[in-house]
Amino acid sequence: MLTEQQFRDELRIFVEKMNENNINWKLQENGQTARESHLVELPDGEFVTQDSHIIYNSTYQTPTLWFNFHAKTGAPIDIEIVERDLLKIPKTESTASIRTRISQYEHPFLGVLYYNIHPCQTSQIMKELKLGEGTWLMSWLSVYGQQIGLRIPDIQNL
Amino acid sequence: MATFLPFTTRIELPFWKAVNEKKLHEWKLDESPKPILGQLSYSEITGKECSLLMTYKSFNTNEIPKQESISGFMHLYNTAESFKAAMTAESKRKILEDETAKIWDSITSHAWLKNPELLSKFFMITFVDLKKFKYFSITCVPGLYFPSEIQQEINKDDLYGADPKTLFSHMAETSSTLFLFCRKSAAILDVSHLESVNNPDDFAIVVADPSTVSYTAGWPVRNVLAAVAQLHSSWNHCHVISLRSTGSIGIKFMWTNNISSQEKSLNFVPKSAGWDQLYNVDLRKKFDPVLQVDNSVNLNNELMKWRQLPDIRLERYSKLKVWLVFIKWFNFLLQVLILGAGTIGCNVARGLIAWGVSHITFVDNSTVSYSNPVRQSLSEFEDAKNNRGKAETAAKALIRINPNTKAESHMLTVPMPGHTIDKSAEAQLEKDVQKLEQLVMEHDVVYLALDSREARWLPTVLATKHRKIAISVAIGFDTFVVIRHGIGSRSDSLSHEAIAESMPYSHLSCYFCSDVTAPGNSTADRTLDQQCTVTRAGMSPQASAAATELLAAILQYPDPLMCPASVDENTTMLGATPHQIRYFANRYQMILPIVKRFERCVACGDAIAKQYQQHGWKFVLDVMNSPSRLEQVTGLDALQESVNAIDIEFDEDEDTTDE
Repeated sequence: MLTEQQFRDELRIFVEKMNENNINWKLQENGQTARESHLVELPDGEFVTQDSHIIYNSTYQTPTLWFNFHAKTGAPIDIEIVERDLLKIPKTESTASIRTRISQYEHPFLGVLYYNIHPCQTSQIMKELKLGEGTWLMSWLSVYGQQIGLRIPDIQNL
Repeated sequence: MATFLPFTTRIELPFWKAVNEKKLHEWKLDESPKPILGQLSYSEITGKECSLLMTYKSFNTNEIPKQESISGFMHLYNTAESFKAAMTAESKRKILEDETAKIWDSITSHAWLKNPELLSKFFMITFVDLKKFKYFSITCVPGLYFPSEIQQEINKDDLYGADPKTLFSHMAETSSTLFLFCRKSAAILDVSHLESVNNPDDFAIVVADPSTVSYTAGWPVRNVLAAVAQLHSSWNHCHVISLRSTGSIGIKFMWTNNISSQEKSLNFVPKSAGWDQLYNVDLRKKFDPVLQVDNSVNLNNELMKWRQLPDIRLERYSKLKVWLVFIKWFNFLLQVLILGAGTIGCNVARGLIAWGVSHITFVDNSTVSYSNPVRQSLSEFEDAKNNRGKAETAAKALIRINPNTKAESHMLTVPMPGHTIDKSAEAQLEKDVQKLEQLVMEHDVVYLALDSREARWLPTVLATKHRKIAISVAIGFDTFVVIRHGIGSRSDSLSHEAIAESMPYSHLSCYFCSDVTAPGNSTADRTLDQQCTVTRAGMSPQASAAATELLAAILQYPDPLMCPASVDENTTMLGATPHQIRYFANRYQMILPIVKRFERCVACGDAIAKQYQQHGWKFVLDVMNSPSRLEQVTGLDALQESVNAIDIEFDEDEDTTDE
């Protein structure tokens, strides 16, 4: 899939492209990961921060998407609200969908529980996409990021 | 009137974790102000605020790009009292005044021209309780009311001829959030040039603005205007480019430049504002290690729900809400009684806590012996060495494994038929019977994991009487059997249509229904090797696992007390709910018989129930001294007699060979 070095190179290109399109991803931990945060509105009018990280998983040799939602006090959001209002997972969601592969694990750098989309299907999914150099992560995010409401630039701007 | 969008502090959970760690390992009791960074974003498109983000990087001051942060201090108090003292109106007023004076000083000294970040400062007042994981904090970003009245004119279409892209590039290259744009030449200059500018219309002052509202400048612009008005006291307006990726705007700010006498005095410091709300958050669920276990165990089971069985009702293993017909909804914690804390009792308990069962009670009359720990998974060598009680050992082990478990233990000998007792022991017997009945009543599920047939008799009677889910588990050398007893008594069971291949819960046999003789003392006159059950090591884990999963499936049935015996895997979302599970290890064969209860059963039959109802412990006493009493009461003795009375005539004259 992607070696760790390939991942880091792709990540740099990805962050640059995103910043050009005013989507504020930042490299962190010496280029090992990138993160982005923005506000999301809940149905009751409250705003919460959605904080997303792209981290390399060496077992599966793919990137994984980690994310969490915080109220402004730092309190985590109730899982029911996350499923219903933030990820908007309908009750009828099929078990094959990516969103059924979301679970909570201890974040590799932060040490607190973050949501994470399990990478078990990534290599399969990525095989179906046309990939050019420097477009790996953008294509990957267009599949995975969409599941959690992340913005992707328009194709023309890439 | 010009308005300026105030800051809303947004704290992320990892920020509090970073505070935990710093306080524990670095700061300890030191209350001196801690340098801290708040992060800003100029590309936020949602909400109506300037966000000041406190993240896990807020203490690593060199990891956030300079242009996206403002620096400040955190005043962390060690006690609730000192925090409250800092939060009085008087204290708040004082600290705001002091911080405002510092900013004003950097304005009057013109130090801001070299270091514009001096204009944007903030402070936090915080208290954290690291035992209860409660966090209190309030943030303030001082915004100066100077000049005292400002008007604005928005210039949305024309950014004074500037190209936002160029401005953003400049910001990225120089890490500067405040600089000048020359309207004539389109040149970008450092803000220090402002000192030599004569005409306010020649330049636009570019301010990187975290505001998300298109017609309102953000809070940082306020202090910039104060600095500009102070620098050029003859000016009554200036032009600002509020730079954001969501659509920069040009604003002309206007004010009256009559400097009051008060403002002329040397000690003058403008009024200011900028307090955010007091935040108060309880993060025990995230940081308390004991609750972390609870969280994680639940999480593990939630995964099952997300990945495999979306409709599974996991709460039934910890809380069971049951519709008891004609009564009402009961909402109570599932409580499991395990009679026998030996190999089966320990392994069943282990399985149950994995499902999230939190209330388990053990009953056992003996102590841990040296042969036990290898098979009894809740005991260890030290327990045998110190001769600890089995039930107590098992309960303590469960609590060590998961501190959230409510595990209890009772050392008690279950009264058994055929084990004679004399008069002196009768008082104790009465107590024991009452205690056992009380335990059965208080729990919802009873596992009969005792090591002899007769020991299971009284628990069966009591479970039948009180309509509890009773499951017997027994192991032989290379076999095991798991039986769920028919619920309640046969006569007052609710009528229920028997469907083909399934039998109502109330019609199921108990452990004794297939026996036509009463249980007697099986342990007397036996050699040591006959008294201890010798079994293949894998029998107990297999039996206990089957017994755990059987309960797990039953509890998913809409009303578990009505769960029929069925081998159809569509009975519940966990599959079939058999009556009996019998396994033969030598050929790896498992069968699932469904057996109807026997109306003359010596344990669950109506006759027995009636006797116990009428005579209570005295009936038990009778049975202990003379098990044949059971046969009399149930009429089994008559049945046996009738068998003997059958006369089968053998024609002795008949030749066995054909003619």
